[in-house]
This record gives sequence, C-alpha cells and structure tokens, in this order.
Amino acid sequence: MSMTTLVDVSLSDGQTAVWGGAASTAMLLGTMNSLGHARLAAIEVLSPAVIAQCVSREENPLQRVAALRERANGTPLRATVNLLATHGYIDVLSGEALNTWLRLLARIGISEVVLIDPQLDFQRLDSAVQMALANGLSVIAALPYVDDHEHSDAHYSASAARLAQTGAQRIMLRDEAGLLHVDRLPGLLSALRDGLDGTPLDLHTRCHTGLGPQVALEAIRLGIDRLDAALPCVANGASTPALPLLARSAALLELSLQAPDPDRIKEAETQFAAVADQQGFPESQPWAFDLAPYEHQLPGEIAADAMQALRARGRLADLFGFARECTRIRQELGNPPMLPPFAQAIARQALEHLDAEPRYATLQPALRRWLQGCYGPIDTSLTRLQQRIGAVATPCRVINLSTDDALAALICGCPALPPFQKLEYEIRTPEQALTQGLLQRWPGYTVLSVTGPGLSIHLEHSKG
Amino acid sequence: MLNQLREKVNAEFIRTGKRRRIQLVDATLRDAHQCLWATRMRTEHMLPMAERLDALGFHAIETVALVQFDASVLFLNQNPLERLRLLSERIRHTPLRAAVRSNMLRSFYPEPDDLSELYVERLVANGARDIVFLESLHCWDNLTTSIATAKRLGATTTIGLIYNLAPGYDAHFYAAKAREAIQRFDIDAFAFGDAGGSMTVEQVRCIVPAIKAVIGDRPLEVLTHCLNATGSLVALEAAVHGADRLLCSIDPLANGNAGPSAQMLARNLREIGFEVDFDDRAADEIGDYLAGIAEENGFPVGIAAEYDPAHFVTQYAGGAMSNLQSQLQLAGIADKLPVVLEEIARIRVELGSPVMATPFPAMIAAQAVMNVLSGERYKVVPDEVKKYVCGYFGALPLPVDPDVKDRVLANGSREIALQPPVLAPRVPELRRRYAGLWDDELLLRAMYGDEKITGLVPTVIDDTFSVRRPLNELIAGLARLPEQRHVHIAMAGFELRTH
Repeated sequence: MSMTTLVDVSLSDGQTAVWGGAASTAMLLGTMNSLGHARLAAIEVLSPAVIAQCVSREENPLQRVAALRERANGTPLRATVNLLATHGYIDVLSGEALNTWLRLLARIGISEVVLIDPQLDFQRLDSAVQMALANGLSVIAALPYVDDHEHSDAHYSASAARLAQTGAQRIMLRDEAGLLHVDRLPGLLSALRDGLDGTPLDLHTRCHTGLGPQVALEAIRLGIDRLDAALPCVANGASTPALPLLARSAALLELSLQAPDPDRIKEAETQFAAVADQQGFPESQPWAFDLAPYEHQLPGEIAADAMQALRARGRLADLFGFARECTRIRQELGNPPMLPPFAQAIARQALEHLDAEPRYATLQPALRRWLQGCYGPIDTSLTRLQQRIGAVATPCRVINLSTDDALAALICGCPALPPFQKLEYEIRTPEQALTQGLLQRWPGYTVLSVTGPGLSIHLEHSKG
Repeated sequence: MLNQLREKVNAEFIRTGKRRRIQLVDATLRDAHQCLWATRMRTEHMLPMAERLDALGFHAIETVALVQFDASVLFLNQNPLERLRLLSERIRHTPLRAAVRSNMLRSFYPEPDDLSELYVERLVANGARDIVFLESLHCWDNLTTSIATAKRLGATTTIGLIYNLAPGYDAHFYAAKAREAIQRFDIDAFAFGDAGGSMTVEQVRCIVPAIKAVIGDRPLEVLTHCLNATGSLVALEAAVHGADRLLCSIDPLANGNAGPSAQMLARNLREIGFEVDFDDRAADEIGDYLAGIAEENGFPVGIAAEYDPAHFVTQYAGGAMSNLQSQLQLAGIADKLPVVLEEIARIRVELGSPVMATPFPAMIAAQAVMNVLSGERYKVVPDEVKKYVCGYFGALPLPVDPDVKDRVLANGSREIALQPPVLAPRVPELRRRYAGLWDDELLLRAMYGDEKITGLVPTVIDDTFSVRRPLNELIAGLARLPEQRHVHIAMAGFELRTH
C-alpha cells in the first residue's frame, strides 16, 4: 500500500470557508513561499469561488495563479473547474470555451485540474477530461458524495468505474458537505476501489459535523492516495481538516502518511495567521456536532453562510426546519445536485420560505434556469411555477469566442478581466502598525503622545 | 448517518409500539461551569435564571458537588448550602440534584461514616431531591452509609458508573457493578459517565445495552464531555442504544471541556424520532444570559473541540483540564501544559490506570506537575498519591508499576502509614465544639475551618434576568460626571435630582 500524500487547500477552499474569501492575492504570497517548500503533493490555488472573490475585488485570478506559481518552488498547482458556472453568464462550460480555459490555466502555471460536473454527466466529463489531457494537465475527476439511500456503494462503484473510463488519472471523492463518517467509509472506499481498478483515489472532506479529521485519519488507514487539508487558521468548520493535526495524529497512530515538512508548514501557518490577525479575519473554530448537515447537505461555505443567517435571525432552534425546507425545495425541483450553482440558490430560497409565506413568491436565478431546462430535462413537481416563469428559447447560451481574454472574462463572470496589479503586502509588528497609524493621523493634531510600558512616542509639529 | 439513526429508532418503535421519551438533565449550574469557568459561577449569576431553568422541561437540575463546595467557599466566599437552598426556593418543579463523592468531603482523604451521613442530610435539608453517588474505584463499600442516608430521607438515588479506557473496564464490568448496586442498595437510577470525553461510539453501542439489560426499567443516564469532537454524537448514540436520560448544559455553556448542548440534543433527538419535552427557544434566552455573564466576567464560552486522537491517550476530564490550565497560569508555567499532559498520560498507566474522575485527575496532575518541575520523576510525591498506592481509597483497579510503587513509598511522606487507619466518628466532637451551631454551619466548619466560614458573604438577592443593571450603570455614570453638573431624571416610579 502506498503512502497517503497531502494537498493543501488553504489558499482556495480554506480561506473561502473560514474568511469568506477575503484574502487578496498579495496576502497569499508570503504563505506560498513556505508552502512551496513544504513537500506537499500539490497546492490548490484556484476554484470558481476564488475566481468570484478575485473579480469582486477587481483582481485578475490569472495573475494570482502566476504570482503563486513563482513562489511554488515547483510544487504542482491545482485548480478546480466546475462545468456548471455559478455566476450566470454561462450555464455549462464545455466545447471550445472549456478547451480555451484549460489551455489558459495550463499556460499560466496550473498543472492539475479537478473537473467537477455536479450532474455527473459522463459524456460531458469524457470530453472535458480529454481536453484537459490534451492541454498537458493532470486530470482528477470528481465524484460528489451524497448521503442518501439512492447513492449506495454499488452506485459509487459503478460511477467510479465510469469516471476512470474517461481517462482521468485520479478520481476524487468529494464530500463537500462533510457527511462522511467512520461507519460509512470502509464499505464505500472498498466499493470505489473495486470500481477503479488501480486508478488512484483521493478524498476531499469537510468538517461540518466536527468528524472530518476522524474521517480523514480513517481514510489514511484505509489507504486513500491523497487527502486535502488546510492550515489550522483556515481549517475545520466548513473547511477541511487541519494539516498539522493529520500529520501529528498519523504519526501517533502509526498510519502511512507522507507528512510535509513540519517547519515549513509551521512557517506558513504563522504567516497566514498573521494575515488574519492584521486584517481582522475570523478565527477558525471547529463546529459542534449536529445531524442537521445530513438533512440539508449544503456544501462548504454555503453551509457556513446559512448557519450565520439563522443565527442572525435568532432562529437556530429552526435549524432542522430550514434543513427540511432545503430538502423539500430540492425534491420539488427534481433533485438538482447540492453543489454550486444550485446549493446556494436552494439555501437562499429556503431562508426566504422560512422568513415569509407564500413559498416561491420569488425565485432564485439559478433555480429559475434549472426549471427552464438550461441544465437538461428535469422531473419537477413545480409545474405551475414552471409555467409561470416560462421557457427559454435556447436552453444553452451561445458563447461568442472573439479572443482568449474575452472568453476568460466570460468564464470568470465579468465583462473584462482586470489588469495585473502591483502585489504588495507587509505583515507589520504591533509597534510598526501603531507608528504607521500615528504617522497617518498626526497631521490633524498639534501634539500626539503615546506612552506605555517600555514605549514612548511623542509627535509634535515644529513651530514656524 | 441521520437516516441510519432514524431507522434504528423507528425499528424500536415498531418493535415496542411506543416512541421512547428521552429526558434531559441540566448540568449548567454544576458541571458546565466547572468545566469551562473553573467553577466560578456565583450564586448571584444563578438565581435570575433559576425559574426559567425550572420551566425548560429538564428531568433534573444539577446544583452542587464537592468541587462546587470548594470553589464557593475557597474562591467565591459563598455558602454552597445557601446556594442550594436559594435555588430550591426558585426551582420548585424540577428535582435538584447534588453529588456525593465516595466517602470524601473536602480533601481526597476518606471521612468517617457519620460525617458522610451529615453531608447527605444537609444536601437534602437544603433542597436536593436527587443524590448522585460517584465512586471512581467503583468500591460500593465506600457509599454504603451515604446511600442509606439518602434513601432514609426519601431522596432519589442515582449511582455513577464511570467509564475508563483501560483493560478490564468493559461491558461485563459495568453490568456487574450495576447488578451489585441493585442487589446491595436497590438503587433507583444509574448514570454512566465519561468525565474525560474519551468514550467512543463503538464502546457506547456495546456498554449501554449491557447495563440496560441488567437494570431493566431503572433509568440509565449517560453523561459525556466534548473534549473531543465526538462527545455529542456519543450522547445521541447512547440514547439510540437504550439510555433514558442525557446530561447536558445550555449552549454556550456547553461543548469544549463541557458536555453536549441541551439545545442541540433536544432538536437532534426529536429529529431521529424520540419524544423530548424541552423548550428550545426559552433555552436560547438563557443561553444569551449566560453569554452575557461570560462577557461581563471575562469567562470563556464553550467552543467545539477539534477531533484529536491524542486525547484518547491523556483522558483528562473537562473540569480538571480547566482547573489545571488555571493553576499552571497562576504559577506562571502555562507554557508547560503540553509536557504536563504527556506526563499525566505516563503516570496514569504507571499508577494502574485509575478512572480519570475526581479525585484522580487532580492527584495525577499534581504528581505530573511535580515531576516536571523537579526534573526527577517521583522525587516529590503528593500525600494523596502515597495514600492511593497504599489503598486508602479502596482496592486499586490495576496493579501499580512495581518500580514506581517503590519510589512512591520511599519518597512519600513518612507520616502516612502503609496500612490505612480505621476512621473514628467525628460528629460527636464537632457537636461539642460547635454547640448551638446549626448543622449546615457545623458541616462547613468541619470541612473548611472557622476562618473561611466566618468570612463567607451572604448572597445579594436580585432575580432580574439580565446581566445589565441599567440603574446601577446610570448611577455609576452619573458619579463620573463633574460635581458641578445638575442632573434631573424623572420616570414612572423613579426620580433622581443632583445639585
């Protein structure tokens, strides 16, 4: 049995789940200097969520990849590509548009892509995998995990076998809602191995129930090939398990894990935590166990947002009411996957229903497109609602390919990709921060004086 | 997982034809602040929420154990029996619970039977209607007198079966101990507890049905701690596998070193198909009040713990962990915590893997701190460790490492005899010494000495359900104003004028 290796997702899913994606490109560079030397199997730097975060700050996501590549010390950089876009400019990423995007990713420094098709449309994936391979990318095909009776071990085994047939070099079981548990894992991984026939199997799990680290350690024991993890300041909760904990625990339990360089990981954590401290980003905290995630099955940061929304309303006592409403909406719609672009829309729709009747007084855009058949034929019970919103003339939007740049902008969900910027970020000591703050303010004062234990600063305008 | 738990509960429903009702027992006023606030919740904090706690639907509400006695008297200058009495005046429907720790009182040293009897009498006299008996070595001999006293006074008796991750502590052991307690005491109920949060789902699935098979219709309560991420799941699994009651506390005084959240348990238990009588929203209001107390006093709230398998090696109890952190901080050696924890794990094994429940976590921690500070293991030996090795507390669970035993006997106090002495009655002498004093005070003086008890401060009674005291804050604010200000405030029933 080969050793399990670790992939760091701090810069993508980690900071998305814990900091709401607030880390700018410049804030990542110092951390990447350390991560790049930590002997990780790969470092994930780009995802649809990261792209949306960059665009919202007028940052160019491709510049982020290029800047991180310079500091990666040759560690493979990974991007996740969702074939169903979340931003609404396009519905399904396929054909020449996908090919161009994969080419751009390879050119800018990505060497591995995780291809996610939430609908698990194997024909679409066949084509996507071949395009990625043709562009020189290493391809990981995602197999989304769902916790229900329909998704049996036999289903996963067959799906894994079919995914392996696409030509993907690795298969990744993606448990984005953190639903796996140690009772489920042995049978499931065994079924997947049967289907995969030697293709490496990776795991991406989250910590919504607090059981993520236990699941990850059990997966190592069962011989998973690769595991996603994050630095402690962006681990746990809606994120992945913490990387140092897995390394430490695997050693304690004598599990077969190729641990990264602990000193470099510690450096990276110190650097990233300092960014959080300086910027006032939220502290990472494990979540208490609750069965509600098994009912709503919301992934990653979408679950975090929903919990925050319920807390803000003072309605945590209605957590299961909300979760059941998510399930009900999903069933009424004809079971769209609980992944982007549908998961957030379902969560928002459920919150609206919880806030006020009547149900479906308004409709989230992604659900509207789903009902209009933009993602393929559906079997919905909401026929009256379907009639109310009407059909669209051409379910698949036409993408006009003028230039690579225009296409990249469209895929990133913006009119044009922002220009590359100068990337600067400095971690300041408290003394430096104080001095800088005083220097910025003192023109407005005649005298500024600060004293404390071992500290005396006196600023006074010279006369005349 | 949700579906699997629902299926199991539903299968029971089909088999028995009735939906089982799970009762919640509150630990907010006892174990939860012991675990999270180093037992520093004051009586004044408790009284304003007492009536609301009474209305939530708990089966029982825990109030005091010996740790609360110690903290009240030694650190808060408060009378723990007064606390119990004031709570019982406000909590009139839900039975109040108090705990007995073996045949001990303030110290780790066993006390004579007449003092144990007096202790139980004063608990009941001040309002406790449910007495839980904890004996970490499971030596029921140590509880004979106190259980008989509780039964004589009509209190409900609950005996603790304390989980231990060590050889020999299996389903058979706990079932046998439960059977013995029924045969000897006709005990009313059982509490299977996990002070260190190291019980796993697999173990609960095995041990809970085994105990239930022996105790029949007698209720089984399960208590766990959330030092690891699995505590709350263990509690749910315990219910699914036969537990009738779960110990919990009001979030945010739950999780972390404490037990599971009452609100979480109530909604999850209902969701998998049990009946639960509990007012979740009213509990959230108490939660807001507790968060306010925490903020006002700089106390931490419970934060869920990260799963960490290293925890299964240390097995350190929630309340003990909180106290250890606090003590190391006071001694200025907070940075030694990891080394002390490693030493605790090692000592525990050397001393025969005693259950990590009071008094043994504190005893082992004291030895660990001394080993770390002195640089030579067992060079300095706390008296309690020597007494433990000599059998003062009862039969040991497993043999002590022979080399360690030699060092303990060689370096421990020579004043501690190798054979435990017979304990002579103390109450007659106390009554002579404190003639005319009522029994509460007599007991407390026996436990803590005259100086501490004379210095206790009566509780200031204010039942306002808020950590905010607007009138106090207004007056304090006005006091800060320059003297020459003229202030006139008038409102219904209140007027204030300063000149």
